[in-house]
Amino acid sequence: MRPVLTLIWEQWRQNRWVFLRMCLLAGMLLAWIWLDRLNPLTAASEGTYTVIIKFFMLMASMVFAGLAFTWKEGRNSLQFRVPPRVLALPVRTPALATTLFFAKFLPVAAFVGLFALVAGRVALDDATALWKGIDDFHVDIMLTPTGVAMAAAAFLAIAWCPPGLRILAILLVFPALRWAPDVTRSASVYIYAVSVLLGAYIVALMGVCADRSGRWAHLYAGWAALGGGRKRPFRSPAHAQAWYETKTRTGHLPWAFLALFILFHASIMASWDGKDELISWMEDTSIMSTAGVAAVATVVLGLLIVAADCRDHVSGLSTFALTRPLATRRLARARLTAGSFSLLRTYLLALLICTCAVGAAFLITRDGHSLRHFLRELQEPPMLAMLILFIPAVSWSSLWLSAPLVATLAPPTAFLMFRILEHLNLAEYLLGALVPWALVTVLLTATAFTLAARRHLLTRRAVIPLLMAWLAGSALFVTCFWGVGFLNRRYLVSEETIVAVFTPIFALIALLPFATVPLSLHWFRHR
Amino acid sequence: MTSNANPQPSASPVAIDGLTRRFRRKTALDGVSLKVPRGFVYGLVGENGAGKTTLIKHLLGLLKPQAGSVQVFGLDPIAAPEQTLGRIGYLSENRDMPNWMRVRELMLYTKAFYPAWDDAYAEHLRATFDLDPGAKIRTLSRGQRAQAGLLAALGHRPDLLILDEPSSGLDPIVRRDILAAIIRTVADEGRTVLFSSHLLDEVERVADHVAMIHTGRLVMQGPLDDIKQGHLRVTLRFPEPQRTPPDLPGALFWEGAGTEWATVCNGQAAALKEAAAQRGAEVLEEATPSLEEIFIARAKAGPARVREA
Repeated sequence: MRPVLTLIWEQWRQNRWVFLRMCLLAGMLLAWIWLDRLNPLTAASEGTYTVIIKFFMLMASMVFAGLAFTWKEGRNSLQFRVPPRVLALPVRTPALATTLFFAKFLPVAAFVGLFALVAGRVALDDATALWKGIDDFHVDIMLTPTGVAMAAAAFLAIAWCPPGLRILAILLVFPALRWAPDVTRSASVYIYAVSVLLGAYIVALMGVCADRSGRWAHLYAGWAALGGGRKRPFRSPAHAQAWYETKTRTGHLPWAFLALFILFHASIMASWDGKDELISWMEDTSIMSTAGVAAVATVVLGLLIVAADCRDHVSGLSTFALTRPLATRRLARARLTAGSFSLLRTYLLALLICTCAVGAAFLITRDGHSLRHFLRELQEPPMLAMLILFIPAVSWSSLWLSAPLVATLAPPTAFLMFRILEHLNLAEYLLGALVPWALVTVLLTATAFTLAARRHLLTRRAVIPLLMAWLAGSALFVTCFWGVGFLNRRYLVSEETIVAVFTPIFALIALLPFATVPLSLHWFRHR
Repeated sequence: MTSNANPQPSASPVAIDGLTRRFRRKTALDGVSLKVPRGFVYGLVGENGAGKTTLIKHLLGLLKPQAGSVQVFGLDPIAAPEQTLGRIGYLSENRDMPNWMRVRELMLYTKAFYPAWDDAYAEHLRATFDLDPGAKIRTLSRGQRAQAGLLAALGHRPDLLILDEPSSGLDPIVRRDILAAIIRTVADEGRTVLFSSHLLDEVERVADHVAMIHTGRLVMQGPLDDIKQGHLRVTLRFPEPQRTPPDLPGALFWEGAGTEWATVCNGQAAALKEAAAQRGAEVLEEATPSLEEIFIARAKAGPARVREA
């Protein structure tokens, strides 16, 4: 019994900081909602709060599950290799796998349960009827258990299997999709979640068996030897450092997410029985399968990096990187360059996923009904706010120190944008929320820039091209995105509003890293 | 603190004056002053947690002195990281390297920062260490990681090679034959090596100069031969059994029980022997102590301790 308890304790120690930070983030969001409800002039409807909480819970649970199920060493590669010291514990393999699986899953479930409990009280009017509130909340937020189970299953499928067998593992995790019972919506989703969890548990068992027997060790070795890495020399130290930053901070995670969600989307399409029920089926899993794919993928990716930074405590600033013979401003420039390209890549990724989703729906239904549905989904306010605000946040989150800042600012910002889009009467929001927030951001940005300039960490040569690259990328994305709305002849808000509201906030968020990254690098390089 | 950005070729590779560093209530370094001469192998010894790595981090500019000054080649490593780090090869204690990188990529990446990178020498080292160029760092054993780190630190033939616990994880053959040979080669080429270790026999074998750090204080420094000659191990036999360590001048640390006691004295051998003779003790043995004996004696000097025989 003692080894099992030790293992559970170790897993908790590994995940406790992420757990606490997730709780902190959730607390901030709930505090924001609570404050908003106090003001009768601006208070939103229950439905609005529920949607916001649903999005947050889904994303947070996925991130947390991703972190919980991957071992510390394998952050960027999403590897889960059970360490030899754990494999050597005197516990039978099924018991070991079961303990590991549930020790990792329980903190995620605890976070979701705790959040649901508190959110049920905060967001619903009938606060005294706690259990009724929670029940309503669960029925409304049907995707919560699915999200958690999905996250667990997806990360397990990727992380616990040898590389060559990962696709098979993913296919094993998703069979429930094909037999999702056609009963009530909530029951269907719960049964589906349990099925996926079961699949994930089987994958976990297989993964531990494989690690213990060492039977597939050659697959790991063979995979590691593939490719051979870079062979050409670097043009300059700056080029080498930018390459290092890109590989270290983002790696192949965006592509892994792209592949995963395309696969998931394809599996949904494959499960469609040919009748015209695809749309309603998709509404059940809308965020995962249709327009939300891009948003969820990018948000999860970014939050994963942010949370992993929090867990590792090293924040990407290893001695190895800091002892490069480069001035701090050149190190910062390399990091910003990598971040800029990451931003562009994420935009393109989001566009690609959206295009694929729309195209696939059009091809299947032929009548254009699904296409119109997708376009409507794309323009729904929460989706819009997430796409526009979270994508830069996600991209910049790969830049250290900006990460906690952006993560802290992003939830209230998304909430704010959601409210602005929901209510076209902007005056009170501009005065009550946007202006103070924008002033704080301006102050932070200006202070950071001043400090960085005083320490000679900023050079015009470094900042201006990067700024231009970012603006060009943003313009490209916004143009493409709003182009969809113009084509559909459906305008959510006027063009003036977009310009007035989005541009300063959008620009200010993106400006922060240009000042904070050199400062943070300088600070942590010479402590 | 000097912030001159121009490299000074004639300056001492390392000059530290009154360096103090505290981490909250713990004093990691307390008024450390030392100067590393050019072209020598300088060994930094001390027990775990003595402050060796903290001192090295100051040399790399990763820590800012709270008091005192640090100069590397006459420059402040914080004001001029490019100039100082460009002349340093560094191997960290925990072999901090990106796990995703391959050995070949590590060589290419490191090469980009150092114009003086010697491809032939780097390849020679890689072949000597028998490192697979396509292998990822994460797949290497602890010893191989140390070798890969050495390769990256040595490939540009640095003016100052800083090795933090280089032996950690290396097997005895590599440690004795390869590491020692590399360190000697670097020194023979007129370059400087500063390495920290708690393996005192290794330091004794390789180093020309030694500095001893104990609980953040520099307890001793100088050429190794001078240090050894400045100490003497004396074994005494007293006419009566001694319940407590004898109180004799110059004795740093006593070992023994009953009538036979051994001590390491710090150069006051004549005074010690005279005092011992006055108490009727006879000298059984006199010998030059090993560095380890000197270190233990220095570290434990003060409240003398007795180890029961």
